[in-house]
Amino acid sequence: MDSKIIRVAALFLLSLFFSTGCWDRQEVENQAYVVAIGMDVVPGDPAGRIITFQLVIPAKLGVGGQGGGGSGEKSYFQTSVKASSIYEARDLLQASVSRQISLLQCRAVLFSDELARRSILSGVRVAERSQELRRSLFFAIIDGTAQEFLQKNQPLLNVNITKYYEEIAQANKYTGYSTTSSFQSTIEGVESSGEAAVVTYAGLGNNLLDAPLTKSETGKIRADGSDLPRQGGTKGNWIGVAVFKGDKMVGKLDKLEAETLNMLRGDFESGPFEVQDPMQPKYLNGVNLRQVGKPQIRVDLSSDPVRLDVRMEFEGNLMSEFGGTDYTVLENRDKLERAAQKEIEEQTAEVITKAQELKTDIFSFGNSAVKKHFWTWQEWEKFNWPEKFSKADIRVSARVKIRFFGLQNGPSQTAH
Amino acid sequence: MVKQGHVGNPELLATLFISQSMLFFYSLPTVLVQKAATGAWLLNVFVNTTGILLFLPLYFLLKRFPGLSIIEIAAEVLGKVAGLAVSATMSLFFLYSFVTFTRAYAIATITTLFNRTPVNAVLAVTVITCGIVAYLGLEALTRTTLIFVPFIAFGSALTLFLALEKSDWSGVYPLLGVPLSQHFLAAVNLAPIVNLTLFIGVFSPYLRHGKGSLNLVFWAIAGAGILTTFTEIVIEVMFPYPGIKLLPYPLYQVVRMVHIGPFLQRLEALFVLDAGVTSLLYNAMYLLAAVLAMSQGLKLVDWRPLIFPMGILGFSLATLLYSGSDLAKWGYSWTSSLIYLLISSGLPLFIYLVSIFRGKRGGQGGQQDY
Repeated sequence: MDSKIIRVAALFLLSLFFSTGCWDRQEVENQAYVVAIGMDVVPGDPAGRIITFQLVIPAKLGVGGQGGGGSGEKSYFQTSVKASSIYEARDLLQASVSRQISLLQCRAVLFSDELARRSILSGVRVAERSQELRRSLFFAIIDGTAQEFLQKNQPLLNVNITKYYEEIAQANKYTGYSTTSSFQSTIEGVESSGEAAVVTYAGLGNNLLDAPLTKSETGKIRADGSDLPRQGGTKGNWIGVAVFKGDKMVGKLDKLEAETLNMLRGDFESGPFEVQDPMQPKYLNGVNLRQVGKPQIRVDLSSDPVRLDVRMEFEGNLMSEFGGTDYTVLENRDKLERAAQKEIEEQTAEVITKAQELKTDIFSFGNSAVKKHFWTWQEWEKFNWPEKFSKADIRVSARVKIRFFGLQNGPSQTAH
Repeated sequence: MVKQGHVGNPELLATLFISQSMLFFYSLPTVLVQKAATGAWLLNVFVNTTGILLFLPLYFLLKRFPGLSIIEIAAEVLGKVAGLAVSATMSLFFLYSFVTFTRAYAIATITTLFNRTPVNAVLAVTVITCGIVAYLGLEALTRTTLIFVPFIAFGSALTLFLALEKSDWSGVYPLLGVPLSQHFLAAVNLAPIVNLTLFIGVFSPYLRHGKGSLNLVFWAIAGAGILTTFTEIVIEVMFPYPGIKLLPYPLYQVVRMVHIGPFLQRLEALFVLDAGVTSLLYNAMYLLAAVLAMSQGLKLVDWRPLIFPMGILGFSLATLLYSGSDLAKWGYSWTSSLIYLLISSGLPLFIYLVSIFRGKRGGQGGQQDY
């Protein structure tokens, strides 16, 4: 027989070995996909966790209506299990789910505030080794319990709950009132000596229109996920930032502080900023700010304490004014720019003081500026930045240029 | 002489590119970080520079005896028995490389993708595939490599550039990472392991352009060095130190972080294809080198009867190895480094010095008339 035929026949026979099945075969219709995981503490049990899984119901995806079906049926359900880890909880949950539970499509892991204050390592330690969970996973800290949050927070705009979490994870870019936190950014903060982790904060602060408002000295509303004065719509508020020191949450920032944090980290793309009207102080003017480049940080390691000079630049678009001042006039514009600069500098001083009191470099000054002045890792570690940060002399200067005035040049002629 | 096809310069360049950059798909970036912290990118430059120096003994030896393999040269310079010993040593060395890399590939496949697949199944498929490629011969192997290299290069470049979107450039600071003395020490440790050019010593009789092709090796090491340094920088700015030092497959993690949009969220498929094809070509090359080294020593005309026993031996040895971390620790240890150094640079240097001492020199380039 021709040797070529023998070779082809041998290859054909060999290929039969590969057609007998696959150990890792996963049929899509046999999978139960988890989209979000909530982690809470068990009262009285330090190692125990209540793990809540939110799973999609594929048949109800894409039907339309509230959270899924037009009849008000949700396209997902959740179930909670008491266990010591996410994987144990998943295995226990399998007792009630006919399909194989998969974490491949998981988009978010939510920790309760209480658990985060103890440590988030119980979530991190699972995610870091997991073949299913990704490092781009959205991390958030929840005021109250994650279980209740997942239960009550029903997205209204998204039929697809997966899409909801993807969009919420990026929503900070519209305002700068929170942060964009992923598993990777969190673990970097936990492991690094040059920065601390900051994580999105959320809560079920709804039906709070009657609650007393907390305001800054200039009259700006201060709120986070737990106390946003709002009513109606989706119940969850993703606003504010949880501040970490190592693996433990040590505090939180409201929307104003979060905005300032983003400016100092260079993560503030553009967003609303309210400036007290320099001519009519009882009014707040709305300016849309855009940060020009990253903050420029000059470090003086020779001074004691270490001194940092942070320079930030912004361009502004005047969105609203109520005092009737024509800010297209150069002299008035200068006053408005100086007022904006002053407010930014005051806000940053306040947040820096708060971080220094918490002894946690949430601004990443260590990584973005100080670390560059060292040649080796050993020198950098010996410098002990976390200790130095709390005593550092940090001065911030802001430069704001109002360049745009919307679609009307002057104030309305009739209002005042 | 063992019959083989002929390898042109583009095919040689592609094969060298694959062999030099392959380790970056696995744990080398992490090993560089473990040794040099944030200065891993700089260590890679030193490693490749040292790698060029380590190729010099083989380069001068092959230049002195154009058209001959290192085994044929050893037989001519040291005598028949010594030639046979060199043949056996080289063959075992290539088989050892084949076994460890095949096992590493199997472990990576299971760790990242096929969690439930038995390791022996992956090993069997790998050995069979490499056996088929080795059966088809050197020309088929290098031509196949040439076909795949543009796709592998494009896939890798695409993922690296997309990854840069999430970069944090503070990850490369402090720039040196460790003192320069530690860099040099680590470079000496890693260069023999990373410099994978010894197979040229076996493939040299089949180089279409003879001695001229040897100069390409330097360019291939330098080119691969630049590309892998760029890759190391991308990995460092994606996963800042110290977190990065714990990632067994950092490039895979980089790919998992790339998010383009809802239409194309996951690039793993592309990466796995790139890494898989690269590994199979690379492993096939080592199996073929093991077979050819033995064939040249035994002066066989046909190398193919040796593939089956070598494949069975390789598979059996690969099943004995245990965990991936143990394998990596051994692979980048000083003992392993010394073995690589002795065989890939020490042996050619020894033969070269003896040839000078005995005044032996080769004739004209054997394959230049093709």
